[in-house]
Order: sequence, then structure tokens, then C-alpha cells
Amino acid sequence: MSEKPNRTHAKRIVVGLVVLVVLAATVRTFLVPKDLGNHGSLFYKFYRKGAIDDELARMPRHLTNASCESCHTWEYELQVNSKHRSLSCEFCHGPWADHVNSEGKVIGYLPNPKGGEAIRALCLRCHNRAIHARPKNPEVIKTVFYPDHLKKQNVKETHSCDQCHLVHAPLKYIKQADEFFAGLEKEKEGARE
Amino acid sequence: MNKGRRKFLGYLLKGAAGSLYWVLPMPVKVPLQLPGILRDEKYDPEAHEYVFLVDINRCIGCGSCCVADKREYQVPDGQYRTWVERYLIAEGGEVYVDSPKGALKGYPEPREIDKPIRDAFFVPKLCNMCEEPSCVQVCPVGATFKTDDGFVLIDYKRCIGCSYCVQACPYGVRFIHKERRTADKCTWCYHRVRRGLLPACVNACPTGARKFGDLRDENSEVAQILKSSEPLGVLKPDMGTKPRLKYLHLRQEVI
Amino acid sequence: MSGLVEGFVFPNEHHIHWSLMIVTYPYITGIIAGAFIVSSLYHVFHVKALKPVSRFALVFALAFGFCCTWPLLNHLGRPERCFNIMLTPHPTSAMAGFGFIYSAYMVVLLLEILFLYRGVFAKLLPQTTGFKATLYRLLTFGNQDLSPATLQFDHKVTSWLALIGIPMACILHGYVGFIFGSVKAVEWWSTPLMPIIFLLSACVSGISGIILGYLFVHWVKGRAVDEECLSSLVKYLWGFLIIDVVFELLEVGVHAYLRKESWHHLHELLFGPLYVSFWVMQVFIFSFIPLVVLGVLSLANVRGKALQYLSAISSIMLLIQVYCMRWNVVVGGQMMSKSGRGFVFYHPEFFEKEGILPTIIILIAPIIILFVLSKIFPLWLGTEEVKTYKK
Ligand code: HEC
Ligand code: HEC
Ligand code: HEC
Ligand code: HEC
Repeated sequence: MSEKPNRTHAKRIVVGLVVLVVLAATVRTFLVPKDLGNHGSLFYKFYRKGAIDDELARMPRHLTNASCESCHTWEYELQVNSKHRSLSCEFCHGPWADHVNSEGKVIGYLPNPKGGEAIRALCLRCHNRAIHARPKNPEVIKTVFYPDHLKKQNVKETHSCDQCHLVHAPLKYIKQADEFFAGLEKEKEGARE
Repeated sequence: MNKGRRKFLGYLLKGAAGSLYWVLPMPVKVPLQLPGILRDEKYDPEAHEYVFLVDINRCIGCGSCCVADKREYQVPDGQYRTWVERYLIAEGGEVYVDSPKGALKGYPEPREIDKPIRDAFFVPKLCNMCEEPSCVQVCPVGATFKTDDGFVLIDYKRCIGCSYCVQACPYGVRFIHKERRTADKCTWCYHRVRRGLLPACVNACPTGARKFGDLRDENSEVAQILKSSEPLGVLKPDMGTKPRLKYLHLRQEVI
Repeated sequence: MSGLVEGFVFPNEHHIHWSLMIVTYPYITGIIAGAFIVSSLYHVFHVKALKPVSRFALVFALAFGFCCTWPLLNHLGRPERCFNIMLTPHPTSAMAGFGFIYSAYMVVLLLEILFLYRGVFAKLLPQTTGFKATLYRLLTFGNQDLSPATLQFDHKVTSWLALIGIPMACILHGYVGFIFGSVKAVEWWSTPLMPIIFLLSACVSGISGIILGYLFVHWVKGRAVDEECLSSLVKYLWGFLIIDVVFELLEVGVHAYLRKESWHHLHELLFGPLYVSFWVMQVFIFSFIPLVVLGVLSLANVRGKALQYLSAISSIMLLIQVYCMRWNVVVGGQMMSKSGRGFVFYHPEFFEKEGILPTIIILIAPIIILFVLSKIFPLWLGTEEVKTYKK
């Protein structure tokens, strides 16, 4: 092989590849966000810092029960002083963001669970003792059997739970009634004396 | 609505490196549920160590958390950031698990099993926020990551939707969001926590089965519990992911 | 898409995320890697008998290489962001390397083909006209020198590229196995054997593809089949198949013998929903029958029509076997719920985005591309020399 090989094609290919790589690297610098990279650990913290801001830009759609207080003081006061104080208004009614905007204007009406069936389903969702996985510990929740609970009170099965239990303060009327009867009893006793 | 949003974006731009400052706008002023976050004006992510506790003995399976979560994020039907499972363990050791619609409708019907039941309970599930998240490890584009305060979040603008993280998560909490077509999962409501609010599910839980708080805050309920002798456990410890989600009274049957 | 379930599965698992597309993707990379290895057997290891298919195998690999990303792009939730994988590759992700490995491999493959064909194009140029001539001139990069020194130079570069190409082809595909093998959350996948099994089955599917393509073209064109070449292909195929089957069974055997907690779930999968596609199809019909047939062909040194027909049938069966294997790995792993208490079933629809029709299109496309490429790259230029090998 005395002749020297003609390598022009190889040289052109190499130059082409180099140009391609350089081009790709340049394009890349434009396309990669500046805040993307290693923020503390290559393993778990290689990311775009702005993604945290993106996540924070999400507005809470639910607020707290306290956010309803200003406008629905009656219901709020009832609930806060009742056994239902730990319940979220928004679970039963829907999220704040569907109801009021940040200027305090009402933008939509929250649905009210209405009707005996719907109310019963709502109450039994938490209070049905037939679901055996529910904690037996009465400190967590007190449960009832349906319809045995109504039978015990000597009412029809179709009786709606909120006819005796105020939804926002379930024991309010019952306590009032108890006090009323206790008062009657006392009066009776007083009259006898 | 629009105006509020614009105002909010203004806030973000004004507070240079918005994520570091506690000027995050709130729709309205409400008393904060996580007071620790206001300790100083500048938010130092390293100064917080959030944990999520689930007390299995307190969960009543009402599904309030699932409802709140679905509404907070408008999660598409059939996909779940959080769900509640029902466990029934027979005396012979057989385990029966179900979770109809992820408990979105609660548990309206008892599950009938013709064997005597030894133990029955509900188990809420959500993102485990692992110290060593396998989903983050496998993401090919760095679109999911761990923040300095320990949250595993998703960069919805860079995710390519390859589902590798879905496969890698041992807990099945990830999914490909039907409308966004990117990965999605529970974030422990990072946007709420940074505003001093509890995660939506914790806020909705009527019995305190879900607890959330900052370990560095000595007085927080979670710090008290973690200091006590209450039996704590994590899911699939052999995966080596070191979950930050801890379960109180966890039974060994729970996977 | 979301199918039936059995037992309890986590609510997000009702949908199988890695669909037929992800079954097809390792299938295609496997064929690429296998075909490349056939050509390298000639170019690097100087297995002279394989000369007639050495060029065909390269162009074959190229045709499939073009289609390799299609199933991935069709599967991605956000295909428009696909370049993120090369813009911001995550250092710890097994998948992040794909973009680079794939492009590097394609470059090596293309270069090898260009250097291999430069001389051919230069020789053909005087007889060609019009568009094709322009194309040839472009593909020779303006160097139509036919001096022995230059040809020798081309040959040397080709050999080097083929040499580099072997590890790259192995990486391209072994790495797909790694993607699966490194998922600790899925018991059926997480084994160090996974990359090896993927590689071996890649060789099997690649060689089968080459045999089938070679026979098909020669039958259609009515050309004489080089039996020496075919017979050595069959021997290689048999050899790879033996190791492949051994490792595939070894994997199950290790799981079964370890009898860890995961095995009890895996056992239910293998003898339940996966029984037909794994044991009946992948193992018994499409592995053992070709294993015996190829064994007889190799040991008895069968020639003539019997060799052609039997090797064609075995190749078809092995192509199916490898597809079954991909299915059983990819879909099987996802069928097992991470709850350890149930299974999800996957029945792809014909017309859906990641369904059967797109799969068929993606699998036929490389053959059409190959046909087009064959108009540019003469696949069988070695035919004059073939005669010297004939008995
Ligand atoms: C800015 C004051 C404001 C706040 C804050 C507010 N609401 Fe309202 N809400 C209203 C007004 C006004 C109405 C409409 C009353 C009407 O027209 O009958 C209403 C109606 C409702 C209704 C429907 C009553 C019906 O008769 O159907 C419900 C339920 C309700 N609010 C729940 C809530 C809950 C839960 C919250 C807290 C998350 C809340 N509201 C916060 C002002 C407010
Ligand atoms: C257990 C579910 C539940 C919770 C928790 C709850 N509500 Fe209600 N709320 C109801 C139901 C059911 C009604 C319908 C009233 C009825 O039929 O008795 C109602 C009615 C209302 C109404 C309309 C009253 C009207 O006059 O029509 C308002 C306002 C309201 N709730 C506000 C609140 C606020 C504020 C809170 C939180 C402090 C709250 N609710 C918590 C179930 C709930
Ligand atoms: C989201 C779950 C939930 C729903 C829905 C719900 N409750 Fe309750 N209820 C609770 C919890 C939790 C308690 C209080 C537990 C405690 O602190 O002792 C409670 C307490 C009560 C009590 C007092 C029990 C006692 O003596 O301590 C009554 C009565 C009651 N609820 C009735 C109802 C009725 C009626 C409804 C339907 C309108 C209803 N609840 C809906 C969760 C719920
Ligand atoms: C007829 C009136 C009436 C109706 C209707 C009624 N309750 Fe009651 N409920 C009572 C009274 C009275 C008590 C208090 C009983 C007691 O202190 O032992 C009570 C107690 C309860 C308790 C607390 C049980 C406990 O162990 O202390 C729950 C929970 C409850 N009711 C749920 C319901 C639900 C759910 C419904 C609807 C299906 C309902 N109630 C309908 C009258 C009623």
C-alpha cells in the first residue's frame, strides 16, 4: 500500500459531526432554564427551582371553618360549640373557592344536603355502626345502627336525622329537650312538696 | 377572580425568589393552622421538618379526606391522590381489603364475610414523601424532586409523561393526570402548608386520624407523638425509601 | 385501557401505564441489536460464512433504528417535550441515558453503513442518473476515489466502527433490560438477570429477523439461497436461543427457589393470568419447538429445502417468542398489583392510541423503510461472490 488513501470524506464527516455537536450544545444552552440544576443533591434535588413557585402559585381552594365565620356566624357558632366542631364545613358544603372570591363576593352557591335520604346518607357516612371497620372506641366516634336507633326513639324509619339532631350542633335540641323535661320533673316534684 | 390572580402573580414577582419569603398571598385572612411557619419572615426550608401521621385507630372511613382532596385539586375521576382502604382480618388470618372508588363515597355498605373477623380497620393512603424517593431517582428529566423542606414535588412544565415514576413508586400513589398528561400525585398540599394551612385532607378529617405538623415545633402534636412510645410504623420499609409518612397502630397486614 | 381486576389493587393501578407501545419498543431495539451483532460477526470476528447477510443486516438494523422511537413518542403523555430527556438528563435516572445512547448508536450505525457503501456508491455512480446519482454523490461525501488505499481505509474504519458498535448495541439493549431490572417496586422485574435476558433475546430476535428477511427476499426474487450462510445463521441462532432459554428459566427458577414473600404473589401470576402467555406460549410452544428444530438442523447439518423451510418456520416462531417475552415482562410486571393482593388485566383495543393498530403500523413501518433503503443501498452486492461458497 504505497499510495496514500484519500480521506476527504472522513474529514468531512468528522467536521460535520463536530459542527452538529457544537450546534446541539449551543441550542441546549438556550433551551435549558437557568434555574435548573443541582440544588443540593444530584440524587434527589436536580430540578428547576421555579417549579416550587409554580406549585405555590396554586391557590388553596379549601380554607378553614374560620373563613365561614364572618358571614355565617350563626352556623359557625353553633358548630364550634357542639360535638361537630371538628367537622369541616367544606366537606358537607363544598370548597370555599366555589363560593366566595378573594374580594369577599359570593360567586356561587354551595349546595345544601337536603331531604331525608340525603341527610341520612350523610350522617351514616360517619355514624353507621354496621360498618365493622369503624373504631369501636366511643371517644373517636359514637355510632348507631340504622334503623334501630330510630326504633329506640319510637319514630318511623323515614324520620330524618335532622328532625331531632341539628346538623351543625347535633345534641343541641336533645340537650334542650332533656333540660326541659328535667325542669318539668323538678317542677312536678316542687309542686308535690 | 382574575384580578386576584393577577395581584397574586405580582406578589410572586415582587418577592424576588418568591419561594423564600412568607408573603404568599391568601385569598382571605384566616387564623393560621400551622403557626410555626411564621416564626420568621423569611422562610427557611431547612428549618422545618414536616411529618404526616395517620392514626389507624381513629380513622372512621368517612372519606372526607378523599372528597376534600378531589375538590382541592379537581382530580379527574378514576384517579386518586389519596384514598382509604378497608381491612378485615379473619380469625384464620385471611385478609380482605377493598376500597370502592377510593372511598370517595365513604363506605356506605358493610362488607359481608362469612368468617369471624378478628380485626377491622381503615387505612388512609397518600404520598409517603420518602427521604429516598425512588420516583425521583428514576425521573429521566428531573421533573420530580425533593425540596429542602422534604416535600417530593412534580414540575408539571417539564414532565414528559413517561410513567417511569409510576412504575417505580412502591406505594402506587402516582398516576398520569388524564387532562394534564403528566405525572401527578399527592403533595401534602405544599401550597397550603407554605401558607400556614393544614393539608386539605387533614383539615377535613373529623376525628384527627390524619395529623400533620412540624417536628421542629416542640409543641406540635406530631412532635409530641413522635417523642412518645406510641407504636409507629411505615409502609414497605424493606424498599429502603424511608417514608416520612408514619402510621400509628399500623398492623403488619397493611401493605 | 383500564381493564378487569382480580383481588385488591390500588385505585391508581386500574390503568396499565406501560402499554403495547412499551412492549414493542424493546422488541424493536432488540431486533436492532441482534441484527447488528450478526453483521459484526462478519466484520469483526470474520465469520466468513455470514458475508452474504453482513450488509443486509446493517441496513436492516438501520430501518428498525429509524422506528425505534416511534412507540416511545406515541406513549409519552407529552411527546412535544421529548427532547427534555437530552436537554436535562437526570443524572440518576436509568432512562435518561436513552436519548444519548440511542443517538450515539444511530450515528455509529450510519457511519458504518456510509463507510461500507462509499466504495459501492462510487462504483455505481457512472451507471446512475438523476436523483439517485445526486444522492450517491452526497452519500460518498464527495469522495469517489476507488484506489485500493482508500478502499482499504474505508474497510479499516468500517471494522473499527463495527467493533465500537458491538458494545453500543449491547448497551442500547442491555440498558432497556436495566430500565426494568432496576425497578425495585415491581418484583417480577427487579432482578440483575433482566439486562442479560433482554440482550440474549435481542440476539435471538435479531438473527431470526435476518434469516426471515434473507429467505423472503431470495424466495421472492427467485435467487439461490446461500446454504452455508443460512446454516451458520441457524447455528448461531440455536446457540443464542439455548442460553436465552436457560436464563429465562433461571430467572423464574431463582424466584421460585428463594420463595420470598414476593414469590407467592408471582406464583399466582405465573400460574394464573400469565399461564398461557408465559408457560404455554413463551416457554413450551415458541421456545422448545424451535429449540428442538434448530438443534436437529444444526447437529444433522440439514441442507436444501428442508433447511430453508424449517429455519423460516423457527424464525417466525422465535420472533413470536420474543414478543411474548416482552409482553410477559412489561405487562406481566404491571399486572401484579403493588398491594400484593391482586391483579390487573390488560386487553389492548384495536383502534386506541396505544392499541393494536398502531403497533402493527409501527412493526410494518421498518419493513417499508427497508424496502425504500434497498433501492438506495444495494443489499446483496455480495451475490457475485456467493457462488464461490456454493457446493
Ligand atoms: C363573604 C361572605 C361569605 C362567606 C365568607 C361565606 N359565605 Fe356562604 N353564603 C354567603 C351568602 C351571601 C350566601 C347567600 C345567601 C342567600 O342568598 O341565600 C351564602 C350561602 C351559603 C350557603 C347556601 C345557603 C342556602 O340557603 O342554600 C351555604 C351552604 C354556604 N353559604 C356555606 C358557606 C361555607 C361552608 C362557607 C365557608 C367556607 C361560606 N359559606 C363562606 C356569604 C358567605
Ligand atoms: C355534617 C355536615 C355539615 C357540616 C360539617 C356543616 N354543615 Fe352547614 N348544613 C348542613 C346541612 C345538611 C344543611 C341543611 C340544613 C338542614 O336541612 O337542616 C346545612 C345548612 C347550612 C347553611 C344554610 C342554612 C339555611 O338557612 O339554609 C349554611 C349557611 C351552613 N350550613 C353553613 C355551614 C357552616 C358555616 C359550617 C361550618 C361551620 C357548616 N355549615 C358545617 C350540613 C353541614
Ligand atoms: C364527617 C363525619 C360526620 C358526619 C357526616 C356527621 N357526623 Fe356526627 N359526629 C362526627 C364526629 C367526629 C363526632 C364527634 C366525636 C367526638 O368528638 O366525640 C360527631 C358527633 C355526633 C353526635 C354526638 C355524639 C356524642 O354524644 O358525642 C351526634 C348526635 C351526631 N354526631 C349526629 C350526627 C348527625 C345527625 C349527622 C347528620 C346530619 C352527623 N352526625 C353527621 C362525625 C360526623
Ligand atoms: C327521634 C329523634 C331522633 C332521630 C330521628 C335521630 N336521632 Fe340520633 N339521637 C336521638 C336522641 C334522643 C339521642 C340521644 C340518645 C342518648 O343520649 O342515649 C340520639 C343520639 C344519637 C347519637 C349518639 C349515640 C350515642 O351513643 O350517644 C348518634 C351518633 C345519632 N343519634 C345519630 C343519628 C342518626 C345518624 C340519625 C339519622 C339516621 C338519627 N340519629 C336520628 C334522637 C334521634
